[in-house]
Amino acid sequence: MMLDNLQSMIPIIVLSFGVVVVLVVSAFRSSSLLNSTLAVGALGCAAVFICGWDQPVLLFSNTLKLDAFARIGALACVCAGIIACLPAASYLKRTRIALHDEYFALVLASVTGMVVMMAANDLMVMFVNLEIMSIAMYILCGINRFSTKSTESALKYFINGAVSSAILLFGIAMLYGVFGTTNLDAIASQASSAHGSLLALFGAACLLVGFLFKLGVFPFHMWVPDVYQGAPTLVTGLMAAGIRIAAGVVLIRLFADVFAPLAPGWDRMLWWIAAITMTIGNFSALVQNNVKRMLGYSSIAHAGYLMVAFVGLTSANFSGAEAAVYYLIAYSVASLGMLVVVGQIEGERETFLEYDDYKGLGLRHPWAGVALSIFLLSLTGIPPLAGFFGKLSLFSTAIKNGYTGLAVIGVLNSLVSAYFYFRLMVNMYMHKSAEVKPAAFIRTPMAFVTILTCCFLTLWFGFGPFQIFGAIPSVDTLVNEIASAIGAVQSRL
Amino acid sequence: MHLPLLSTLLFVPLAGFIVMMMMPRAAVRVHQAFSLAITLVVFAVSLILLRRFIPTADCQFVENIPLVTTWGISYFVGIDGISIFLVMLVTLLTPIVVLCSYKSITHTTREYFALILLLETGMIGALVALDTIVFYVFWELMLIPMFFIIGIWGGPRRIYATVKFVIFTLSGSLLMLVALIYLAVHAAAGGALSFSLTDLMAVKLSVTEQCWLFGAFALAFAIKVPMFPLHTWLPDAHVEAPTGGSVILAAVLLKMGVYGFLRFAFPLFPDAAHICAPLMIALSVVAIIYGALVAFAQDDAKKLVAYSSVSHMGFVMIGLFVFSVEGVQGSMYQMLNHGLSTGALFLIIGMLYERRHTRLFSDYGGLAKTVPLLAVVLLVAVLSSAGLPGLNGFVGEFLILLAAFQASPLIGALAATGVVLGAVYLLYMYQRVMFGPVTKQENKGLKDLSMREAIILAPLIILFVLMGFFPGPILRRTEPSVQKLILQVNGSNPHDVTLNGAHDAR
Repeated sequence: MMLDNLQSMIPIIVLSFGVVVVLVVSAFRSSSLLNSTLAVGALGCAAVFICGWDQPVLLFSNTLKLDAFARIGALACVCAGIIACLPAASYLKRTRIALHDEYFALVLASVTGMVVMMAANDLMVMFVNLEIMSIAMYILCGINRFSTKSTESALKYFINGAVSSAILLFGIAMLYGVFGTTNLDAIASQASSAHGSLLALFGAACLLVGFLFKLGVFPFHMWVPDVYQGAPTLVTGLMAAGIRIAAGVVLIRLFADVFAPLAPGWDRMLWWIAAITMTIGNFSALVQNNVKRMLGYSSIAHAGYLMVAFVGLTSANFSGAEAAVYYLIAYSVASLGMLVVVGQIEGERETFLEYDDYKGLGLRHPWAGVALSIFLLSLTGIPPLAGFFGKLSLFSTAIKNGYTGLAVIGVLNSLVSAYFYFRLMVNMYMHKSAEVKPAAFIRTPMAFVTILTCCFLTLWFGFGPFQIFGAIPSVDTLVNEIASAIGAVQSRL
Repeated sequence: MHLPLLSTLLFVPLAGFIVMMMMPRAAVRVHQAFSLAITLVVFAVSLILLRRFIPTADCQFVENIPLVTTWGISYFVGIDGISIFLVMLVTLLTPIVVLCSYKSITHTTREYFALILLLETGMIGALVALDTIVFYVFWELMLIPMFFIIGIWGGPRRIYATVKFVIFTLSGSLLMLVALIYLAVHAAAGGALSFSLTDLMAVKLSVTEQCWLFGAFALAFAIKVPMFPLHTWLPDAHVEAPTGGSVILAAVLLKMGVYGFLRFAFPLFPDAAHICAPLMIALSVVAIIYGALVAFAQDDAKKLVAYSSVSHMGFVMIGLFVFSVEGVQGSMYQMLNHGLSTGALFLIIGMLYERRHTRLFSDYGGLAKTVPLLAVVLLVAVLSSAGLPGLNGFVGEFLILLAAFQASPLIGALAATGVVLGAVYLLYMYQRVMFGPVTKQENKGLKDLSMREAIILAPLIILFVLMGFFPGPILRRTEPSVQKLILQVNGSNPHDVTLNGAHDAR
């Protein structure tokens, strides 16, 4: 059995092995170039083999389930990891972050956690990998040791995260008490019989709280702005993209597949959570003057949009999964790209992060300006970019499920968000040169490649050959094609 | 296989936009020449389109390629009598706008001309799209270039104006998007989604649903028109926009609102349109009179023309909401008139501004002596805008007033006051700028029209006269489509219901 499934295991092996290798290598030779190459190599190798996850493969006495759904999430997280690593060498040097070797090991560790967590078919495996992901992320937030903001960010994230993990674990314990197992398939088969069990309901609610915390959804959103602002910019990017995707995918898995019969009538609660989250996020982002803080609040708002897909999660014919995953990916691409650009503009000691610093930037650095505008427009949801189709799919889901009111709240929130996203473009392009500040976009080849890729994806998800990339089933077909191509190559070898 | 004409129209400017962005920054002459060449090519293609156009009610030059099969979105474009002349208006005015910006746009020319090309794609796309999502994409595509055009090359309060413009426009269009999805989801009824207009028209909706959805669509379109209480973004945007931006805004973007009513809101929600007609007519009457009065009080030329647009678009809306062939035909014609004459007015104001760097009437006076040619051209444009018989404006206003009187004498009478008031403020403006003694020293040495400026204005002046004397060729081509539309809208209601609806407005 093991040998047959070894191929499915390769990405996880490569990733966890990569963590060790990078750590060991960095102990002997401190070279961020070498370590970033190792990390990107491991991630790239994992990405290639993740494409091969297709038919559900159960491993290690059913504790891991490698299937097409995990594949999309894992692929997205690994790509987010690559994007966080590629421009990192020069970024860490420029911002004088001393721990530049550990950075790559920690990114790898965090991505490993995400990937395995999404593939987990057992609550304990899920929890352990959630911790791997989170602990690496706590350290990454504080990796800029000489910055009080970064330290504050790490501490805040850690304390809040620890509490949410405890709640999560408590919930798992409850569920174990009810079902006598932590295996998700086993729970799913018994779930309908446990309908009405208060203990099971409480356990499921604890699980929901844990993941809503990771997503930064109201009322567990307080940590987001400080952590996003204080963390090094590329870490913020990984947080906005990777953790969001991982938590979102797991939430869908848990509640659409397993706990649906346990939690009827949660739709009303999720409705309010979605509405309040996006409203709070957008209105708070309106008054921010720091770009990263604005992105923090706007990420709360985007978590709120995401929750729109989750309303109706527990209904029998849940159709929001595709919409949610598509939206997560569209949002991640735009916000990652945006944060890479912000990171290239950022100066030493967290300077050049204010709205005012962006004045005239679009005219001095036209390509950075175009890229940033594309990301901002995508985040606003302007067609024909990825963000628009993401919102289109979310709101279609809501209306299909009969929540037209929520869709109206959603678009009105988009209107509010247009103001602060457009304000950055106003600053970039519409201020005369007398007001210009000396912030500059630093061009490095790696940053150029990542930004270009993100731009391309943002346009590609929206434009053109929609059949390939337009919706989740079609993403599958593309991945299948890649997978079969790789398979062909492997068989020849 | 024929060349797909509509795709050519759409993608030539888009390709031009991409090529333009690749050009070196300093090559100003190349930017100018290249964008002019592209827009002229597009104009030539649209002339072929006009020649091949057959005056029937059906959509022609249809291309239908599925894009996102899972969501039922397809690249579905076509053109009929309602859209053909608006497309012509776009393709005619864009080269003129390019030409008029040669002197006034001095910095970042590459981006400016590139955005004009992108805007042209957006405008043509919105006019030819028959798939609602494709329409929505192009509808927003008009917004973004205009946001930058006003914001980067505009006047001192450009940022306020452009943000206001974006927020107003987005607030309407986002609600329209929800309505659109709602419609598509209902049309699918659990089956496969489709956003194609023909499929959406087949949906049976209750009157309440129709009213809500019509409200969402109407809000988006009414903001664009702009109808009376939603017009406040227009004067700001016009005053701050550069000349080229003002011309496109007034001549084309405002028409998109009316076009939206004709193409989407009416055929999709005929009952709701009838129910809302009294309100819409009342608002339009207010717009006509209010716009005219406010225009009369302005000292800034661009503001005057902006408010005159509010007034004139009120006419167009009345023509729409009486639901008769004459009315809609008049509205169609008046849209073209307004596009041309307001375009000409903004161009001339821009030319004066380039000479004197002011738009206040108090700074002018007696220009007829120093710039006689310009004075003549302005006179023709003013008279065309005021609806003098023999020029184009008269035909449209006459048809609309005819339809309005048929519907209700009161509406007709109130609307007719707008014609009188229009003549008052336009001629008063002309008097203050052109007549009287030359009081200011700076006005003495002004240069008359240059060759470039004459070339810009000549086609418009020729069209004023041609369209004034020979409305037939245009009205003949639009009529079948308009008749079909009226049949669709009045299908469930006999004609007298319309009259009752209109009577209620009293």
